Amino acid sequence: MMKSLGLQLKIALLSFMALALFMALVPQDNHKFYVSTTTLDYRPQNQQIQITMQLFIDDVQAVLNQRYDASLRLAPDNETDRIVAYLEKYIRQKFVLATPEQELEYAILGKEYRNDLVLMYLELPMESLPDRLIIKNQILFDLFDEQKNILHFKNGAYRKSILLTAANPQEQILTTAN
Amino acid sequence: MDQIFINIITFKATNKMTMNKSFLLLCSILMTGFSAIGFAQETPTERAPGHLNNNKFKQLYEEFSTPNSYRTASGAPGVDYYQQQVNYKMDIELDDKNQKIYGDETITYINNSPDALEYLWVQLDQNIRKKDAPALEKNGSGMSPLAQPGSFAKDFLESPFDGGFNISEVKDANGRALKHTINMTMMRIDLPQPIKSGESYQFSIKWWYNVNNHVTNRARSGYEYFPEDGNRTYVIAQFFPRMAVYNDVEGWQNYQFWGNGEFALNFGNYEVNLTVPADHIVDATGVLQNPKDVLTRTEYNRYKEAQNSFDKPVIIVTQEEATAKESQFSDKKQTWKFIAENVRDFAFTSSRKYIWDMMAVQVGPRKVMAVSLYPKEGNPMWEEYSTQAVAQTLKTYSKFTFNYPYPKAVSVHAKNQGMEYPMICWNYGRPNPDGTYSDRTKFGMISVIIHEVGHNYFPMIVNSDERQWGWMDEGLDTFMQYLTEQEFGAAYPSAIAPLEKYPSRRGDPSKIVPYMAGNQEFISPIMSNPENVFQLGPNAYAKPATALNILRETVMGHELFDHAFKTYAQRWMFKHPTPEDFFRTMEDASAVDLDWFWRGWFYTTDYVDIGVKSVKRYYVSPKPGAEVDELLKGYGMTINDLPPDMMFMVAEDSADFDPNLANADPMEQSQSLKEYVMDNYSETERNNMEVPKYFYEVEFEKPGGLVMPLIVEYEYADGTKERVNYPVQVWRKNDASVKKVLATNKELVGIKVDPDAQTADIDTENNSWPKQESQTDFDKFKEKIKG
Repeated sequence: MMKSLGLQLKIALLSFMALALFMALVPQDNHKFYVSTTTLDYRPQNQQIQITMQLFIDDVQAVLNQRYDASLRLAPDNETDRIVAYLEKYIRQKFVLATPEQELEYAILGKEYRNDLVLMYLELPMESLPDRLIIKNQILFDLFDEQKNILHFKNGAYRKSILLTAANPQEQILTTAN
Repeated sequence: MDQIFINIITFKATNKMTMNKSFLLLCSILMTGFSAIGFAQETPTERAPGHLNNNKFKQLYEEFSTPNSYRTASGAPGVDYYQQQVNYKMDIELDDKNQKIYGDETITYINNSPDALEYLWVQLDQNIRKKDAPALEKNGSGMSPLAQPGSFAKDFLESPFDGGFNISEVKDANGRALKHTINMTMMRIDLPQPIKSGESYQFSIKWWYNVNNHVTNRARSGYEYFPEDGNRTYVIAQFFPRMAVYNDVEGWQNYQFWGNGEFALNFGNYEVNLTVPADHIVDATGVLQNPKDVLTRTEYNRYKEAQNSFDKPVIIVTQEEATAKESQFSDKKQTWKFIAENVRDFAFTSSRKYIWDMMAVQVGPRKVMAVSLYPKEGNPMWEEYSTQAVAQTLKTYSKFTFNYPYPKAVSVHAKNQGMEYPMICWNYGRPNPDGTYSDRTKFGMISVIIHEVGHNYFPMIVNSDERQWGWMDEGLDTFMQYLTEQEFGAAYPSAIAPLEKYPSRRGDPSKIVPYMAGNQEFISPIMSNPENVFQLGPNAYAKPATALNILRETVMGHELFDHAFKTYAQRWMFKHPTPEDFFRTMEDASAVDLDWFWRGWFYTTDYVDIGVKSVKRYYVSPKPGAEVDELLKGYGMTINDLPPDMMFMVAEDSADFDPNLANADPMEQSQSLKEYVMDNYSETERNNMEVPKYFYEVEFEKPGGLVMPLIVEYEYADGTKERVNYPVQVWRKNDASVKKVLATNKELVGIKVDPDAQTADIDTENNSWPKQESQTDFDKFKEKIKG
């Protein structure tokens, strides 16, 4: 198992390097970094996986503007039904969780703004934890070539982190240490 | 502590020592609770192999180079410190119609080094845009199973941009051609004779290149095209062949420009004539020499008025005037003349679209002009905040480092980028087309202006080598940016209302936790070259800035930190510091040993995770418990070998614990203590004596690799709280855990490690006793939506 884990990491690393093709001309000074972070926290006592997704507001607004409606403005005091609907539609299309057997259905609880970030809260009911979980996260890959999505899976003390890119948008992880 | 080691060894060696002496030894062991008695009990069956000094507090002799007469061990420039000087005279022409730049420059190189130089290295940064630049192939690539048509077209359909320098001639002062060799972004000029120490040498270079679109290319320099009116705004930098740095640490710094690692440059004086279309407005590094020639009479009068306007900016070119020029496309040319002294670089901006405002700022003894240029697309936001943000930056940075020494600081509106040059910088932040903008856009703009104007201090004046060390300017500047943002919020409460604090994106310890807790495969130590790190933002900006903030707030305190930081800035003002010069000065000026901090935070990817492992309550007992027997056995002794006046402590969870002790007065449980107190203290002293009722042994654990001060909040049954800061040195003899004894009159009901989240602890699940499920963002949100 250790061997295959190492291999997975290598693959992730390679595809990550691959993505940075156009970085040569990127100004690095205080410019934006195309990264999202998602934590999947398994809570056996609640029988669920609690998912917290951190995205840059500017990026989310840009993708909603380009895909659906150029007039949408994301702001804490501007919470319209259309923003909620488009965002849900987008998240469900781009963020998929599954076991090797079936797709898993999560609830979108809502979102919060914090500085330049939007935090999305998702909840996945989970009576018994499957051995393997397939995580696909293509959020913002349609907007930026350089977008990287980092995911941390937590099950008690066990941690598993993956890095997804357009070239490698999904991975299967083990949900426990053995 | 060392004394006990010696005692133990002596004890083992001479078994015939007097009983009396061994009692003393035991007493000292019992009183200090020293855990190293394991040494004495160890059986030599399995001998561990030896090891190097892996102590977290080991001094950085191996990482640091040996101090010398160029750079001292105190972190200051040494008696033989030197730096080269390079002066430039340049005639530059911007061809707006064809987007080309032409230059003719004369370089005077002054060799202040003790060495004779047989060749010179010149940086050709524009060559990174050559069609065949190796930098285009510096990363691996993979075939993506999905692609946007736009990026697909860019990759496989478009012909590549024809950029890079075209060097027409390189010749000496007498007009003779000089032999030169171009290796990617570096050009070596072979000299007929070496330049001896103390000599200067003059030569000239003629060149031109095609200007790129910095928006589509995402570059630091270039133009933005506005299709609505057909105009361009130019932000032009690293646009001329620039001398590489020669110094005592790198020799020639000719590490190629690959795109991420920025610049290493010499100080010098510049005389630059910029020829542009006659209807353009230009600003640049340096002081404009001929305002009367290039400005209209009205503009000139406003320009003069601005020099004495300290309360608000004066608009030199209004939005109405700038918009009226957008359709002119003048065929005439005009030359703007600038002179800059003691700068490490030169950059300029030019467009007929520019609105231009400026105000005077008093910085110490000097009057400095705070200036902004922006097209109408930046308004109304730019008119309102840009120049104010420049002024605030000059004030705050001057307070923490040195008075801003240049005559001006210019903020130029540029789409999607923030980039710094001496006295001038490019900043993003554009309102929606209808002029509305969100708080996020506004704060993003103010923050980037503070950051880029702040770069005048690091690295423009405290001139570190960015090619090698991205964090030395980015980290220090991002830290100063945090302080300035907080002061901006305090100075302009209406600008941040309804918030009470400026929403800084970086600097707060909790904000770095996701990065430091992340996958180690994708984290590099701060002490890495910018080309080779995975996430440059957190690596060179956020983590060093947070580390400095933690040093200031938690490790050193404001007074010691601020003095040391200022000392560093002033020592290296207009000089070239290395990381060691910074590390050494911070210690030298404060008497705080920080090697452990630099080692952990800057040289490793370790993280902070400190928690409370267990809490044990002890009682004074008339009888010895099993723990005492165990301890004595280690020395081959029994209870009968002890003198009659010993005291005993029993743990609550031990088998010998008598529940009756729980409410007893400790003084009543130990006859020997009572007698000792009667014999050694007066009645008055005894009456003032407080006898602690509660004795706790608290064990703290440290799963994280970083050592940090142990900040603990004890909570008592009466609701009071007590904060104790144990120095970081508690970890020096055991990196994994440490025990502390708490003697108190109040029952302990709770312990919290790092209660104010000052240390960037990545896992707070072990931070409380009794254990508390720490609330995640998710928990808090769920509670909130439940109402």
